[in-house]
Amino acid sequence: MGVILIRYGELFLKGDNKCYFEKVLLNNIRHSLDGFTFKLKKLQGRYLLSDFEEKNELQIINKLQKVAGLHSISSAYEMNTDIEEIKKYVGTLTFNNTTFKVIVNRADKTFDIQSTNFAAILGGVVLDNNPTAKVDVHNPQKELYVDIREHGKTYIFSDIIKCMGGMPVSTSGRGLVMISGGIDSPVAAYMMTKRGMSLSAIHFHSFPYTGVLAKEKVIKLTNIVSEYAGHINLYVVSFTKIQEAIHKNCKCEYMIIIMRRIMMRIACRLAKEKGIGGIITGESLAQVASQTIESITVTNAVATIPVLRPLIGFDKIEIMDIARKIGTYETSILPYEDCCTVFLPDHPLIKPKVRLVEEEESKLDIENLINEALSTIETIFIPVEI
Amino acid sequence: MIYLDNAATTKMHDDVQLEMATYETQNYFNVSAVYKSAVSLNGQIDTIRADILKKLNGSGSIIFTGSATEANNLAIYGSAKNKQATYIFSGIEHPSVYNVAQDLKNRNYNVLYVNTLPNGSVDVNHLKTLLDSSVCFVSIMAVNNETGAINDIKSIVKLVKSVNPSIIVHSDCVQALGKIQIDLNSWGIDLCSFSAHKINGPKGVGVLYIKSGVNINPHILGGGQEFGLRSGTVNTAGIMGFKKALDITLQNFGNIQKNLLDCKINFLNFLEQNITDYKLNSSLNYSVNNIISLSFKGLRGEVIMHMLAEQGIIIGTGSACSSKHSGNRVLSHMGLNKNYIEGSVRISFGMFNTVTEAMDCAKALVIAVNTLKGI
Repeated sequence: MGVILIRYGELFLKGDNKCYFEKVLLNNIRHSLDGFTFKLKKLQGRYLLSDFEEKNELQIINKLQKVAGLHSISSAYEMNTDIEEIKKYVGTLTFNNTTFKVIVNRADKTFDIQSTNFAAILGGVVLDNNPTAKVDVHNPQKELYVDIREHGKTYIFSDIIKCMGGMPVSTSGRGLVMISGGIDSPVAAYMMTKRGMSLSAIHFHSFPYTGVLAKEKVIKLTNIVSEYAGHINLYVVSFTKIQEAIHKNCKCEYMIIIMRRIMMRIACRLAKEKGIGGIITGESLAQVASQTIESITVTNAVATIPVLRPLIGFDKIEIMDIARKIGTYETSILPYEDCCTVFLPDHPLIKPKVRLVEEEESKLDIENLINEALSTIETIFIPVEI
Repeated sequence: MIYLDNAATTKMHDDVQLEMATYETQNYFNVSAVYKSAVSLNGQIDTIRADILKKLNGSGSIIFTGSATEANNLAIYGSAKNKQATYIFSGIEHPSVYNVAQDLKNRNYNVLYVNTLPNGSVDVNHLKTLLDSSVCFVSIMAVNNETGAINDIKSIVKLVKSVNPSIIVHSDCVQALGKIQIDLNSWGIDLCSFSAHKINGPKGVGVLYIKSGVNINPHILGGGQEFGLRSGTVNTAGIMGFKKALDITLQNFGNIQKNLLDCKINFLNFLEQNITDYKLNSSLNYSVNNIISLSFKGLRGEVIMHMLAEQGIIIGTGSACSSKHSGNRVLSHMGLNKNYIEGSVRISFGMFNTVTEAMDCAKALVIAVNTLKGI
């Protein structure tokens, strides 16, 4: 019978609370496969997915690769642990003109033959049935895994498909990701999803300075991230009045740093209101003027909850590679204006100081501006696409 | 909603919709078939070809395509037979011509571009200097889609043919149809492209006129429809819709033009009285009545467009304004300063617009521009 073996990652490090993480992970697997018929069973150290329709197998594998907490999966053939049956099945496999290696894992220690001996026996079976095949234990073109489990079943497979790794979503609290529409913030969201956070997102929109397409782009990016994170509430904040007020009242070189501090204040206020434990940003040290250590210090000074910056030590190229891998890159590079590029000064501050920025901010009625922005937030529910 | 982006597309006329419905649900046969109803329908299509030729005073063939983009592609690729020869285009062509020219250039064809005058028309004197015995093809649009500037195709054809009568001259007349008088025989043009959806007809219908004696190669192969030049099942309903739209447009040409001109004049007068420091990107007397291209220094066209959209007024931007892709090929080619290019908008009227709507737009535009200048 065709089955899928599912292996989890870091969970095995957990102690007494391991069953909690496993329960969440099983739930997440079930949610990710909404719409499919299947049975999910727990084995020792892994799960077994069975009774799905064969035509859906590739789609199911694709979905499982996006479940945080899973280490790897394999499409396998399940059979009773019977030496002759196993040999018979291995004899039907095709290994023409290829080098191979048989790897036996004997979790069931009552199985009579030792792993290496059984691997040699099965290698012989392959060679008998595939005269052009050759054994290569160091660098084989094909590997055949035979996993003999404790409950009288054996699983035979040839591929181990890598999954996201990390921790199950919603075992590490909730994060509010500040999503701009660029390359970095969706990647930051993905990284924290991988560490088990469930997500909400906040986007600052500056109509009419930014258009409908810019907002649509952010919705689309959030949608892609939701394939990993589960459903996401996207909070869209109208930032126009705030930007106009800064532009009108403050020195132009302070535009970006003040803007970012107000965004941070709004994000923290919203997060507290919604019971969210941390802010997630896509900042990468020194990437732009607003991401120098001095700028981050000044922005951080107004944060009232932890700010997580998973990309802080990443190069742009590394971030772009992850964006391509998770499928957000093509959308991120669409050329629609985001609100950070509106009223952009020619020479923004690179090394701002808290005291001077605060002096500049005193020209604004920040509390009122923030209250108004918070009162007009639009909430968009981003479901997981099935 | 006040819709003033008619150069992008137009609302389908009710009569066009009615006409098309018959051919979608009752007379829907494949004209390539041999049974009586199909043969009869094929006859109707041929009558329409003749009728279009008559209305535009052409002598040759009418090829129906899936869009004007396709018609332009067919005209250019179909004529690009000689890699040693020179192909001339204006620098202000629609992407469906310009990008084909660029593709030819990338494939090592000798492609030259004609300069543009500050009023948006092509520089005929520059064209003169480019014409020599190596030239085999010239493509110049009759009316520019962004500025509304008119090119005198009749004079251009005359000039080109005086150098070498065998040079093929093509004109993208998508924005010209129904806006200026088109007389294909008098122009002496070889190839001409048209679109149905710019004249209140259906989307998905283009036309390529091919003068008698001009031979081009097909680039869509299949069942050999459209005289072997554009294979694909004939879009009967679309063609009927195009014919109806053309009839309505040409029968009411005078009235429609008068209304469009009234809209334009009133709009521009109001603007002149209420704003300074803007540019009209075409010469008033040498542009079509339905298109106004304006540039506001230091502002951004996209922002103005959004502000008007909030008032229920739909206009177009003259520029794909964004931090990553600033600029506009057509306006740059005219020599317009970058500060103005980013602040470009296009207002384009259609047959259903009224002077009141034009004035509502002008007023909203003045408020938007003054607001943005005050920020």
